[in-house]
Amino acid sequence: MNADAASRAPIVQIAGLHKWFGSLHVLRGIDMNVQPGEKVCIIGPSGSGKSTLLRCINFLEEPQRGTVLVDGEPVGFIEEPGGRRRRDPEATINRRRAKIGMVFQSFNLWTHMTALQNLLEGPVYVKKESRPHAEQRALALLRRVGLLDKRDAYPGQLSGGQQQRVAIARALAMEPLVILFDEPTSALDPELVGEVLSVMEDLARDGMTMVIVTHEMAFAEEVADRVIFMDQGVIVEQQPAREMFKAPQSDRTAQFLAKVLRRKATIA
Amino acid sequence: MRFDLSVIAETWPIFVRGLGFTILCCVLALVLGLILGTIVALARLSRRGWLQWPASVYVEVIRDTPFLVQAFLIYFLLPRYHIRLPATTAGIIALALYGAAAFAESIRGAVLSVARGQAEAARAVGMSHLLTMRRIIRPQMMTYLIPSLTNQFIGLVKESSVLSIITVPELTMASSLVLGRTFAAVEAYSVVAALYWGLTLAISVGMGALERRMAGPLQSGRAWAPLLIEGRES
Repeated sequence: MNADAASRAPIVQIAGLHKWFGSLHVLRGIDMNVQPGEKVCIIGPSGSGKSTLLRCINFLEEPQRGTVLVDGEPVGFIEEPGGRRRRDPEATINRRRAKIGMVFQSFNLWTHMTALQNLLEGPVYVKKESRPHAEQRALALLRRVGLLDKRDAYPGQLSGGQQQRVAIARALAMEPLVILFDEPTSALDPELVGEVLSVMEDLARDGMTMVIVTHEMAFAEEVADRVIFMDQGVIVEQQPAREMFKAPQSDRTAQFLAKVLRRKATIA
Repeated sequence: MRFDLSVIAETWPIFVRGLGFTILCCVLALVLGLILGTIVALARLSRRGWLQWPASVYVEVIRDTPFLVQAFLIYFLLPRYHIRLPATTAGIIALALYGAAAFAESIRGAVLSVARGQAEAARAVGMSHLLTMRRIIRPQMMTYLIPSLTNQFIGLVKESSVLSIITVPELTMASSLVLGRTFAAVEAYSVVAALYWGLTLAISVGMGALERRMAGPLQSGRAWAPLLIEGRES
């Protein structure tokens, strides 16, 4: 019964989140939950705060107000009874981050390490796993993303699509509770997008909890349990994927979808 | 007046001794300066204000005042606190403090040259600040660091001539001694210039070799990765 209750508790809980960059109010009160196994896609025009929201979840950006809980534990700040916030010690923040995978737009593979070394770094140096143990899993993950033969290649020797697949495997190597994807295909040549999306689809089928900021509407419709539309720092609308694309409730969503889908249509 | 290097035949031991002191001062100042400079650079890069601002003040003060004045200050200041040091020791300390500020800036610059995403990816897997520095930044920053440190090392060697004024018996001081004996100013200073040039050349060559050795396996990743990414980041 305990396990059941735990599995129903949200992995990510965000409440009343605000973020300013200087005087620019980027997030204006975000509330959202992500359930275990759920795939949530965040869409919206550029500058709407999608990436910032994602980066607040693992504290790469520090929100000024509101709370983020991952697996029930606060990330970055502890709210004291008086309502004052205290920044967590660095070690606590790092421990939380180790449970949250992240895949970046520009891959950010460590350029001085081979694909395999990229996968070993976190497990060996952060989680202090034994190297043989970590290596076994790393090799299995490289096989899973179809790049076992590239284990000894440096990032500079891989295509963008291959780099991003290694980056996804690197995130998986930490055995995270949730993986955050920050526009994972936006930096790729169009012909390389497919291979990355199919790895992500494979993860989704496997039950991984995923929060994905993306411009790939077809992918969002296909994979997401829920789609969130953001504009100007607020969540305008969130719906199951089918409904969102067929019958958006707000005008802003409808306008945005019309624009991106028409653009797609003209390209095709 | 003719250029007569025969005076060197009689006075060369003075130059050798001076060269020895210059090398001693520079090597010790370089080692101490690198240690201190690394600490200062890390402090300046820290997000903690109480570490950051003293380091910044230190770098600014040292870089914006003449080394001659710094050397005088240390030479005359220490005895006031009953610290009696030989001139050479005071000179090494002054040179190390001066070098540390320059080295710190080189190190900081090299750290910042490593693409921001590299450190971000490290933070995202839960690496601490120090682990990120050690495992991710340091191996990648060497390509940027070595050329800039080479310049700083050469600057340090040249600046060490100032120590002659606080009576350190180094190379420039040696030329004054020779001058006092032989009045062959042009010859004495020509020899000294050639010796300084030899020293700095040795540094350039040595650091160049180090750079090539460091480049090895990293280069394959470094050379193309930015090309693949640049221009597509929004």
